[in-house]
Amino acid sequence: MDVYRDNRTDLCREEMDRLKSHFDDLKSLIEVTNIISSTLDLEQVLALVMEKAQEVMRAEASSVFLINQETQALECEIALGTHAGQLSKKITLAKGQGIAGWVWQNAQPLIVPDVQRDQRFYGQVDTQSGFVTRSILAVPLIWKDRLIGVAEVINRTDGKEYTEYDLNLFTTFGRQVALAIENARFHQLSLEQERLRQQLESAKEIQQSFMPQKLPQGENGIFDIAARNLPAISVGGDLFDVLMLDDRHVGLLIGDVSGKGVPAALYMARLMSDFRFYVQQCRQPSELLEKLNNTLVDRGRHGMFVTLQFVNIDIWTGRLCYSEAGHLPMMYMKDGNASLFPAAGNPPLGILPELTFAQKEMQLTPGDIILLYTDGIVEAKNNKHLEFGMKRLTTMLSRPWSSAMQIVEDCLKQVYLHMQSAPQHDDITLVSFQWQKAQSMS
Amino acid sequence: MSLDISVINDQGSAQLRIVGEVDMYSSTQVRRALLELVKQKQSPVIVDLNEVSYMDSSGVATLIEGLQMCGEYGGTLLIVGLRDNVREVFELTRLDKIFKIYQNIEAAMAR
Repeated sequence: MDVYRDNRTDLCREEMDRLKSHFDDLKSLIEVTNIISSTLDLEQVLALVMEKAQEVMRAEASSVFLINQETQALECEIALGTHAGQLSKKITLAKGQGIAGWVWQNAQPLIVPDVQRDQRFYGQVDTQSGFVTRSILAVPLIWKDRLIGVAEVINRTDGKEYTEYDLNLFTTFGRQVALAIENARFHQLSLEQERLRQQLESAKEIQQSFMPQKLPQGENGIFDIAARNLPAISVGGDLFDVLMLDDRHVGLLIGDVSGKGVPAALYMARLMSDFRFYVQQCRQPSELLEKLNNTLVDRGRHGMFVTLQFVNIDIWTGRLCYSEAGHLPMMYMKDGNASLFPAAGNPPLGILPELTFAQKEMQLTPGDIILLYTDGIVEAKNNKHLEFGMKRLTTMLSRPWSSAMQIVEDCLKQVYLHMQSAPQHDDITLVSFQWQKAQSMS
Repeated sequence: MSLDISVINDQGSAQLRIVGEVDMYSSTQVRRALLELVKQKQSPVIVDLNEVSYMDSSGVATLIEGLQMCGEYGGTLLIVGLRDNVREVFELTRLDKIFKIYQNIEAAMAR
C-alpha cells in the first residue's frame, strides 16, 4: 500500500514539475513579448529575445539567420554563445546549404540530435569559431506567410535530446522573433521615410526660393500683379517669375517642366537661372525663347522639356510683346469678357534645336487684365475624372474683376470647388497682371 | 484607367496601337512599350492614336520622350489618327510642329 502511495506521490511530483516547467516556458514567452515592445533596435531586440530562447531551450548557443533578398543568401544576423565572439566574418549560407539552409529550402522546422550523423550539417562555422556543435533545433521565421529567416538553438545543456514539445515551443519563439524583426525593420523604414520627407521639405523650400518672394507693384497703381504656385507634391515642375526689366518694362514668365518631383525641380532651377541670365541680354520674347531652347537642347535630357510663356509689358504705354513655347494661350479679360490671346504658335523648348520662334504684340487699355496659367488649372479633375477645362475657365473669368489678386484667388477657389475631394495631380501656377494707365501720363 | 497596347513589328518598323485614355497613370504603360521598340531600334515607330479618347500632358511628354529616343539612332516616330480632342491638345501646345502626324497607317507608311 505504501509502495503504491509512494509511486503516486512520485508521479504527482513529476507531473507538478512538468506543469511548472511548462508554466515557466509560458512565462518566458510573455517576457519575450515585453522585450519586443521595449526596443526597436534590431540587433538589441534579437540579442534579448535569443538570450531568453537559449535559457528556455536550455541551449549552449543560438543564432538567427535572415534572408538577404538582393543576394538571395542566408546571413547570420546574430550568434550567441561561448564562442560567438570568435566568428571573424559574417556567415552566409546558400539555399539548401547547412541545417539553416535546409530549413529555408523546405520551410519546415528540424531537429538534428547528432550533427555528426547528418550530412546536411555545414561544419565551417565550427572550424572558424572552435565551437563544437552536437545537436541543433532550427525553425523557420515566418512573417505573413513569407519566410524571412531561420532561428537555431544549439546543444542542450542537460544532455537530453530535443523533443516535439521543444520544437513546438521554439516555433512559438520563432513567431515572436519574426515579429520583433519586422517591427524593427518597419521602424527603420519609417525613420528613412521621415528623413526623405524632411529632405523633400528642404528641396521644396529651396525651389520656392527660386521664384519671386515679393512681386513688383507699380507706383501710383500703374499696374497690379498677383501670382500663386501650388506644387502637387513637395517639389514640382511649374515655375514663374516677375521682374522689372527696366523702369518702364515688366517681364512675366510662366512655365511647366515635364514631369514632377526632384528631376523636374532641378531642371526648373537651372532653367530659372538661364532665364535670368538671358533676359538681361535680350528682351525680345522670340529671341529669348530661341536662346533658352538652344541651351536646353544642348544640355539634353530624354523626356525633359518645358512649355514656357514670356511677356514683356511697357507699363507706360500698355503695349505688350509676348511669345509662348507650347504653353497654353494667355487669357485676356476686358470689360467683363474673357478670351484667349492669339498664340504665337511655337513648340515647347528643349526638344528640337535651332528653331525660330515667333512673337506677337498687343495693346492693352486701362483696366485690362491678363492671366498666365499652367495646365494644372485646366487639367484639374474631380472624382468623376472630369477636367476643369478651358471652357469652364473662360466662362468663370468672364465677369468684371477688381484686382489681379481677386482673379488668382477666385480661380483657385473655383478649381478646388470643381475638384471636390479629388487629389491635386499637377502643379498649379497662376500669374495675373492688370494695367492701369497712370494719371500723370494720361 | 486601363489601356490596351498592341505592337505589330514589320521589317524594322513598328506600329504601336493604343486603345483607351492616356493619363498620368496609364502613360507609364505607353512609355514601357516605346522603350522596348527603341531598344530594338525600330524605325519608323508609328503610334496609332485612333482609339485614344483622351490624352493629358503626361501622355504628350511620353510621346516626346519616344521621339527624342528614336532621334538618337536616326529613327523616326510618326503619329497616326488623332481624334478631335487629342488633336486639340497637340495644336494648343504646338506639338503639330514637332511630330509628323498622318491620317492613317497607310499614309504614314507611304510617306
